[in-house]
Amino acid sequence: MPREDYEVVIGIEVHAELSTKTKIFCSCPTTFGAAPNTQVCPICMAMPGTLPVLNERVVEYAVKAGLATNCEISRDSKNDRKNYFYPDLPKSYQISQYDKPLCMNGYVEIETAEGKKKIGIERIHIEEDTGKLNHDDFGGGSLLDLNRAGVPLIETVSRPDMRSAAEADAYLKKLKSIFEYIEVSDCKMQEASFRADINVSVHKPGTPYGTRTEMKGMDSFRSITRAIEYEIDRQIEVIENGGKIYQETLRWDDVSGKTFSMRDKEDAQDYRYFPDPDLVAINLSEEYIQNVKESLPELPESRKQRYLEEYNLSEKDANIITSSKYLSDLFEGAIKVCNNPKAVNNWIISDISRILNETEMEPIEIPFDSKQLGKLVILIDKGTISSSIGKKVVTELFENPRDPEEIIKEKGWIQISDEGAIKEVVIKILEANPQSIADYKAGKDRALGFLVGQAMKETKGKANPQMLNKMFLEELKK
Amino acid sequence: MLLNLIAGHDEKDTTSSDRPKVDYTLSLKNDVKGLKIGVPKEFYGKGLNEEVKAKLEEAIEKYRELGAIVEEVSLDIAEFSLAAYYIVACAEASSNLGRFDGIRYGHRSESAKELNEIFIKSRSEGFGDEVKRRIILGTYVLSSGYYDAYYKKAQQARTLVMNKFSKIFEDYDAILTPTSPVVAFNIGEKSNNPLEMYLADIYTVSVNVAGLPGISIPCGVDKCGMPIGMQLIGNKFQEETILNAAYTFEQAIEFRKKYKPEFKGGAN
Repeated sequence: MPREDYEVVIGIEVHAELSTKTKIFCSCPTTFGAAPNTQVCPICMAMPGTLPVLNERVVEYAVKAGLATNCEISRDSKNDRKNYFYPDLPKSYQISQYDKPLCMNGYVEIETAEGKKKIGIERIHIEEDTGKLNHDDFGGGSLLDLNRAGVPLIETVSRPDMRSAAEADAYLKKLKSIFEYIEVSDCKMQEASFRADINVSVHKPGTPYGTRTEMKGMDSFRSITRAIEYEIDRQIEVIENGGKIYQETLRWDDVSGKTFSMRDKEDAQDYRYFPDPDLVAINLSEEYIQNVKESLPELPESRKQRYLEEYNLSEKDANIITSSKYLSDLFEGAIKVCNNPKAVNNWIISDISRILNETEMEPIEIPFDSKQLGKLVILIDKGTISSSIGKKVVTELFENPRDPEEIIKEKGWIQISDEGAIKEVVIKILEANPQSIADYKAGKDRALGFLVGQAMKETKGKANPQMLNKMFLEELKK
Repeated sequence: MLLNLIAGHDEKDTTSSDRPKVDYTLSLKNDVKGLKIGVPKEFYGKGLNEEVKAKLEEAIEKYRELGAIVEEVSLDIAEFSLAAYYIVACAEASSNLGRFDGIRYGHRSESAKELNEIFIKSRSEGFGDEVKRRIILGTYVLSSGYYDAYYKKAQQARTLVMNKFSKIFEDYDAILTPTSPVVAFNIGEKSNNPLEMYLADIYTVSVNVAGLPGISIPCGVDKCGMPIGMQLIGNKFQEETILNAAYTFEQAIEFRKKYKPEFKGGAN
């Protein structure tokens, strides 16, 4: 495939559910996972005669998001109606923003193997989420759950500035981490509170942009990368074979690893946007915007700089840790307990990250707290347990989080640092492996490693490794 | 009074004004001496029924007798108002009525088999002709390509109408117009001629378009005994002025004593 001959253009719309306590136009709670239709009222069910009242928190959160992504904040904004029929849209229009979004012309900076790059943000606007249709086995019908109807969203529209799946991935991760830091959204992808519509097109350099296709409602980084790669290849193949790309909405199927056409341009809807006459204009004062600006917490970029300077972290490690507010909070919390940034960094970068990856968990789901991680580091620093036992404790913390001290007592993992006990093991191993002694004496240093390994095995990893090493050397010299 | 109850800010309706409430019953002073009333000549021209016109002229005289200063003014807005009103009202109606989709409440077609049929059949069966007409008009004026020519233009016309009213209220306290060019027609009589029916609203929609208070009270009856209405329009939030003007007039002509409307069947 002549992929090098093509330039890829990607633009992304992100919908993030705001973590306000109540919905955008009524006082129903927004908690996820409640029984169907238990978090509804006449307003979000669109009973005739009801009127929306805009939740001020929604405006505040959107302004926060705008300020954190270098946007201009509109002093004069409004709500518009987007009209279309679908059962999950009870009013038959969605209250959104059309030509006067709250935030405009921002950017975020991303970093990939290619280096640093600014990705433009065209706009961030507020709108209400729709309900949910559950296509279930209930007699072949569909059931409507309006709990999500009226949950506030911000839609962030990027400029078509991304040129690869890696850049799209970096952009999404950056945006997610910013929203987490400023605490406007919990960004839980498995609850669809952070989801992306990805627009992809390809063209030969020097020619106009190609026709784009859109993949809607993507909610996992892994699928997003796969889907973009697939779609790039598919489009190039179609063009190379003399075909044409049609502007259409695609559905990514994770199982088959393919995209499927959902609806094409011919069904393109006319949403008949117009200003919602039930709501008044949103006018923000300079003072209001200044107050929101001052309420913004430390952003990932600034935390990263601090980690590089204060804790001497490598750029790569600092990037990983600050990529998520939860990892970053875990890091800082654990350091407060154990005062050993290097060790905490290592645990997060190696074992914790590995387990998160393997289990496809997000940092927010880490079941243990920073105190427990800090205590684990202290136990290793004091020599109570070895770092190989530490790994087991981390695994245990994921499975059944509790005080690490309790874990090691319960499991009998306390390190053997008693000289007599260690000596006993060393002698036992030496007696069992005369060949290794001969090898060592013949100059094969590797034999020492083998013997230490055997001793560790014998003690189920509990022996103090430094003491083992020292004592083997002493015995072998005899 | 009802107005006393519904006035004031409603926290569940952000479009309601948060001005302090007043007791409107205190505004009924039965005195209009020195009140400046503007009579827009454009509202008394073409299309106005002669009997209605005659009664309005009597009303103007009555106000003069009562000490008010009544002068002719020019307010060339009725046609813009009517057009703007029907565009905006239909646009909003087309969107507001979308919720009657047969999903959660209201009529659901018995014969609908799939989703689009539920929408289409339930709405086709449930809505009457006038409602359908307004939904179609409203959908049209909001459609891409027509929005600027209709909906946006209508909103601009509203601003124009508001400005023209403001100009008059610089010099006058109230505006006196007929309520309708004709007396009430029989139920269903104009169903086949919606345009004529819409034209009956030509004098009253201005206040809705401009966001002004208006009051309509009877000022007499025609030869069939059908009541003839006159309308008083006040400046923004000047309900007290027009309530007092209407009350004073009503006391003076003793409408309830003098006219006992008797329906003789068939207007005109």
